[in-house]
Amino acid sequence: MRLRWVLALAGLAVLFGALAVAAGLRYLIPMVDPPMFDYNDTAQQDAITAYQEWVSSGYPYFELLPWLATAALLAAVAALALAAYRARGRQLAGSASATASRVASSAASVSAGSAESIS
Amino acid sequence: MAAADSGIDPRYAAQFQRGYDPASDPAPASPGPLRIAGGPPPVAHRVPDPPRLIERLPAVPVPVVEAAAAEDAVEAEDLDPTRARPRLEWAVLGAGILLILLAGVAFQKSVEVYTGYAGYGSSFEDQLFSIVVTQSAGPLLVAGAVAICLWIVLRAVRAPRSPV
Repeated sequence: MRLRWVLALAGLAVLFGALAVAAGLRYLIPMVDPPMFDYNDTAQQDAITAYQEWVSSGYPYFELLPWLATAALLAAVAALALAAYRARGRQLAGSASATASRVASSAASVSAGSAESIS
Repeated sequence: MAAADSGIDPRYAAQFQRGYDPASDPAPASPGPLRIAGGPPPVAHRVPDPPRLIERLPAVPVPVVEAAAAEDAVEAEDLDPTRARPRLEWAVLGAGILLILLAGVAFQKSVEVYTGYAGYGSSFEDQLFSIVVTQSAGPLLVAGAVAICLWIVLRAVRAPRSPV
């Protein structure tokens, strides 16, 4: 198993996590230090409308934030599980190769001893 | 055997009777081992003869055997991890991308709904549409992410092993 699959899942988790952070900032930034408007001033009506639209359009980002966090968490868990599966497979392969080398060396020593006894 | 040749039972021959005196009585004609006339004695075969070789028949193709071989080949292809159901894996990836795109469209529509003061519309269909687009973006996004993660895991597990 190649490492790129684990990295792909980890990258997906980072991407969804970054999107979740961005969505949270998009919801919070309009509320930080809100401008003060004079609602009696008709010249500020366009600015008031634009600001209210900016604030209200941030609410869908707030609603999407937990879903983005969930997607990031799922991708992270999948990446960890795949990494653990890969490590276990490599460990089993290493022990199998070590056993094979031990068997081969013991067989070679036995055959060498048989050849000496015959000669 | 002299006794057998003489026509009497050898057990009742003179040399085996009580009071037999070899000095006075004549010795048997042939005291040593006798050679049986008529050739060597029959020899019993302890090891049976090997069976006769049967001539091998010429190879004739049998349709049933060919069909079984074809089925075995198909099963071997099914068991091959690199070729088993690749279309299903790509369908999972396609479904994931489609769900992500649907989530994006739903999110864009929900932004439009929240931006307008009166919502998307006043009719029942418009209200239903606004509810659907505002509530379905998140689940569609998570479903697409799960499908893509599943595709990556399937590709990783079913791919042939490599040292790296």
